[in-house]
Amino acid sequence: MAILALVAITLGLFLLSLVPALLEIVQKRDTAPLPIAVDFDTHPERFATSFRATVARHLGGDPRLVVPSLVRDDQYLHGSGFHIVDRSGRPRFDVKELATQSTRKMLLSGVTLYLPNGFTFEQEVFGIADICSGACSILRAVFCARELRLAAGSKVMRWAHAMYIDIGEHCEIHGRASAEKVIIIHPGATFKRLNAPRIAFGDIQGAGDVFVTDSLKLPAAAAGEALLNKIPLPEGDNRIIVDGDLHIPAGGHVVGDVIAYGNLHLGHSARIVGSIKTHKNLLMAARASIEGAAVAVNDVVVGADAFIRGPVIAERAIRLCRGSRIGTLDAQTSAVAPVISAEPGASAFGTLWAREHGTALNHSASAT
Amino acid sequence: MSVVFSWDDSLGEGRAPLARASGAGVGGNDRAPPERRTSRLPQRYVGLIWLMSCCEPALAAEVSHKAHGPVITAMLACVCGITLVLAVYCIRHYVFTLNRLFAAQRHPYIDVDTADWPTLTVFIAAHNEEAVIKDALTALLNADYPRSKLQITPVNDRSTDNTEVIVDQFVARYPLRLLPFHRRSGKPGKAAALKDAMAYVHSEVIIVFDADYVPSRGLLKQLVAPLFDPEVGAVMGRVVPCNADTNLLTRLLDLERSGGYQVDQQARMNLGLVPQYGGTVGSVRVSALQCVGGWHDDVLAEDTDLTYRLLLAGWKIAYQNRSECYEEVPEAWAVRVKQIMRWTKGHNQVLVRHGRKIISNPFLTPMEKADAILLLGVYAVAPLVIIGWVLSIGLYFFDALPFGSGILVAFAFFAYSTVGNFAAFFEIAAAVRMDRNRGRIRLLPLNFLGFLTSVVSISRATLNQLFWDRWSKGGLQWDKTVRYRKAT
Repeated sequence: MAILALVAITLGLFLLSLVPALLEIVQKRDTAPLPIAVDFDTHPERFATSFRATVARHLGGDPRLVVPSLVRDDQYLHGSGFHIVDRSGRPRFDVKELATQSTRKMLLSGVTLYLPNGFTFEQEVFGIADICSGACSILRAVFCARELRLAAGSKVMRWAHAMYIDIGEHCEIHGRASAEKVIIIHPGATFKRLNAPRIAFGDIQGAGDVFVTDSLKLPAAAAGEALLNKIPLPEGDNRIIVDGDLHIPAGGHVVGDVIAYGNLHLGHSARIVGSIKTHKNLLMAARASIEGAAVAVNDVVVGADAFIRGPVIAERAIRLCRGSRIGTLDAQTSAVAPVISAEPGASAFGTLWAREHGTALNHSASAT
Repeated sequence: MSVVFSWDDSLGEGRAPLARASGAGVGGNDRAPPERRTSRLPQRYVGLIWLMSCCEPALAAEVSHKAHGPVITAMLACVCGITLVLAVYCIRHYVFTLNRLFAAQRHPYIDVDTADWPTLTVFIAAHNEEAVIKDALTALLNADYPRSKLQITPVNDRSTDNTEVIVDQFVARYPLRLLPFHRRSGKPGKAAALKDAMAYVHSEVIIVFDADYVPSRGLLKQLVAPLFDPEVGAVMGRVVPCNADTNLLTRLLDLERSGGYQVDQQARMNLGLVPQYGGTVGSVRVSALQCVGGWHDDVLAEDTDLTYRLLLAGWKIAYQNRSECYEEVPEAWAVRVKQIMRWTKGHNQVLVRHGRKIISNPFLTPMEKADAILLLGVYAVAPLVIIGWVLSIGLYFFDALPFGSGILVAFAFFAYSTVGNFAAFFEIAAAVRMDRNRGRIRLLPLNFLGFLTSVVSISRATLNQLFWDRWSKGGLQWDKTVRYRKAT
């Protein structure tokens, strides 16, 4: 009897662990497949496009055509849920909003919109003309059909989209900012994701077109010594794999994809016609160029006036020195890293995506 | 308990023992009293026993008492070796899970959204796929990829149903976007079909989907982005079961897939080890494929084979955990058994072909080499587990297990291997939590059923491969996976 009892207890304890499983089989509380967004894509203007479509749906037509007819001498609440700003372009607030310096109104403007300083806009702002934010204002999201000027200290929490975006000093872009033409970002501003045909740090003058160094092009043999410790590859594989650090001397010229298991250093005006991958750091001296992608397990430093066709991928940080360029107007690309910093005069064509922190450096922080 | 050492293996001749422990007398009869068993130890073991007796006299006494010669020693050594192998895999799985839970995660390529995208050919492997191919084609036509650089090629491999008709209907509607490949003869199997289709590929990258897959809009760019890295030869995304809610088997497979992708593959990506290209929901660089000899149609696991050929040639595999796509998992145990048997044979083929080359390869770090070998050895572990069980039972009945009570050792071994290497359960549980599912974790103990089935199936497949397939035609036989989705 004792043995039977022992067996029964043991069996019971064993089965006890299966009770939750048996209950789950019967009740089927968590059976759905892992959700996958079938329509998901990584398009930078996704939110802006969606919002514009929403506005168009509520207004019953293209906002650029409908909104001008809605503007009156007074601000009012439209049936779509938007507050239509009056002809002055300056939104009006009630006493409570003025006291709290924040509003939950969704603003829609048909004229140039001037937002007050220090105000928080908890809902989206839509303008078919220019939008000028006040200093230190906080915007949840803003869609502007023309030029968006974010005054110093402003913050965008989710997204901003415009034809042109001017991000003032010490602004903070916490989500994404996308422009159809140009983004200019001034020193001290921080960002996460920027997308535009041209992104200029400092001023538009620095956002020139494609730049390729063509001075001092030594023959390939000049770089040959640097490739002495390359690993032999199978027939047909045109890559160059170097076990250890690789230094391409000034003016050196390499054709083909290059992989270095150590650091990769490109001297002044050195050129790689191909893509590169380094298992450590990529350091580009002034006027060096990479006519392809650049991938680094650690950091990428793009020297003054240096160029990378792109994409640029670093698993730690990217630093763009003054005059450096990523991508071209005709071949826009991406530069992605947890941390991106750029000096005035640097520019990019396409996307800059800093997963953790992106900074427009001041002159005083310039390394070179 | 008294012990009698004997240098002589002919006690039956009536010669007196040469030494005796205290308290023991020499009996006059030929048969030793029950408590005084003689031990026939070869000389070389006596030294070991003496050494043990210095450290642990009771242990030494027990071993010598119970030892029955080299057979037992060999069995013990095997059990220890098997336990060591299982311990290595256990540690490996724990490392992976802890890495996923606490270490930095690597997704270096996921944010590339703007680029000069390379030319791309998307293959849809289809053999009698009338029920599902329409959904795959519709999804790919809706994909976010530059149209001028995208070619969609359904590979209709000797279908006898309406697959060809459906494909041609789509081609008629989208003539510039679809370029079908109708294969009406040739060697059976997906690899052979892809091999033939490659002759018509002029793009830089190919992506392969099975016909039951429904890729999301952004998936193609996500699978191509890592190929901007000149070291990457192939990319693997994550497959997610879409029929997880069908029955217990699909729910268990859903858990296994979670563990395998969410933890195992991603951890290997984090640690710079060897993520595996899975043959679907993945991209391949055409130049890399050509460098390593193209598709091989003489292997059952062409994806694993390609993974290792690329690795050995200095290419890497990138894993994109956020590049997800639905797939169907088997809904019947018989189908599951067939699937895993095919995977086993394929893996073992790759192990034999490429295992030795890994050791001396100049492109792999020591950790990569170790992981590559462990990855290939995954399907060899199951037969070892069964052998370990058998040996442990044998040792128990021989009463030859050291370190105290034999039952304890056997229990330890069984507890370890019967639970299927607890670390695997930990891996699955962590994966499910990371997927933000909660209720399905309750099914975790039932994964024992799946593991047991796998152990038996894998062992059976290995035995067949070693002894039976050579003389039968059961070697390279592709069994098409059953489709469950109805035509929409």
